Amino acid sequence: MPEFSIGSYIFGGLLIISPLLLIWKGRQRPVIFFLLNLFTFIISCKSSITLAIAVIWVLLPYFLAPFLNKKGAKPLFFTLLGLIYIYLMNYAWVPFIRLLPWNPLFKFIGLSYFLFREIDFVLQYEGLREAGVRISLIDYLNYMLSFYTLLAGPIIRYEAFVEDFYREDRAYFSGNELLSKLQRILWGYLKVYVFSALFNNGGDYWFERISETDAVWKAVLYFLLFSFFNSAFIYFNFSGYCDVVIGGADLAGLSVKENFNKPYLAHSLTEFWNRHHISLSEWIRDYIYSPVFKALLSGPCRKKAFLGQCVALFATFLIAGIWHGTTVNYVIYGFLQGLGMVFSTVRKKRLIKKFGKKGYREYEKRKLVGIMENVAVWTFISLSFAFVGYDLVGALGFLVIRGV
Amino acid sequence: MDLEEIRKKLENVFQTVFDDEEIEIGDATTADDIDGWDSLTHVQLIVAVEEAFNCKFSVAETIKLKNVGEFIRLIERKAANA
Repeated sequence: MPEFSIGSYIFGGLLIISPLLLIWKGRQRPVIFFLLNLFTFIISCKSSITLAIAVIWVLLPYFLAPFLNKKGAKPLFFTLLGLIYIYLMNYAWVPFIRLLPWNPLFKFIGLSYFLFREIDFVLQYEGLREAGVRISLIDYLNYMLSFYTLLAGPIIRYEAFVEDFYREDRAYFSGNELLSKLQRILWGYLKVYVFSALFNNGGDYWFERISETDAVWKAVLYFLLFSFFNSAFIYFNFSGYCDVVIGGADLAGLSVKENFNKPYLAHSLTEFWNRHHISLSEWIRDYIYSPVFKALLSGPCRKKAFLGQCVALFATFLIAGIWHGTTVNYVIYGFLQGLGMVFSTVRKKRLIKKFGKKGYREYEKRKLVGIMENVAVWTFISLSFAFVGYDLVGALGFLVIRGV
Repeated sequence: MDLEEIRKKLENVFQTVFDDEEIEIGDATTADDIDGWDSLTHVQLIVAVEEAFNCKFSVAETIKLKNVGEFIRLIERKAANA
């Protein structure tokens, strides 16, 4: 099967064909979009086994959603969904995974992002029906398989997708608007294939130096350099990808949610996560943080709201970290993000207690404070992102074995 | 309970949750208008409202709310169905 990525001929071809969706209206439109998505979905699967598993994984929530309104049905469904997800992804550190036979062909492109869309669809199902939102198999499949967001999001919500797909105020754009959309796509490709590639090379270079060195101070220096190169790589690669898919969808008259808003200008971790991978931050806020915090407030933390908030934040970011990858590196990454968020929340509370609400706002406006906070956020994010994409645990273990 | 009564009671909940007796709410009030009302404290507000009005909100219902006016109408619907 040919490779499917934003750099593939297939994706390029789809970007050129899909603006025809602006011309096709009425019943043809969802069918044509579905055919494009189905084609992409099939070619992205490595074998017929992969395709069969992917089809079941995608269709199951659609057919089960109407039957999940009984008490206890949804938690059971999500537990099973989670366990199957852990199995299909082959989480290396989960004990039961090692006991089961597994084949790389079980894993398919978009698996982790499908999970988010499925949970959103199932949880919103009753509300969607009550609100009269259009629910049909073809709309569900277009929502799940949209080739724009198949690879790595941004995470879309069913209602927003359907509302956008069928909105009638869609207008043809002017020459200048066309140029601005093309410019965004080009800028996205430039970010991915020039800037992120350069930072990736730098990251690889300094990462290899870490395990080769024989002095602790050198290992620390190389680690710092690697961390900053790696965080720059992640930003340019992911935000560039988002520019391409958002700009591409825009050419076809479709809206894809903005996913980045200058994250490295943030003055706190909370602000960072409201600016970086925004669709993921909002999803975990709605579907992990809120229910966990609510359960804590209604139970063990009834009189200790702030403690409940900290526990919910930590749990949310730990889970989000674990979702990012299958190795123990991602558990540490999630753990660090959780700790960072708790620290950031406690610090804000203490400052408000010390200065009062008005005084806190004045304090935050100070230029030096802003610079210090920005540097601290950037450094913390870079150091914690060092566990993303690289086996840092392995490299550090290697140093220990060598007695450095 | 009419909409005005709900608004007044809801205003009291806001004042307690955000520890500010000067808070006044209207239909158009959003998180941007109230100091401390962010995504992290939103859940605290929802739980306090559930207790005050003796009702339960689902995740799906609360994430759609765009302003206090929508919140008041949601509470009214819940109270009517209780």
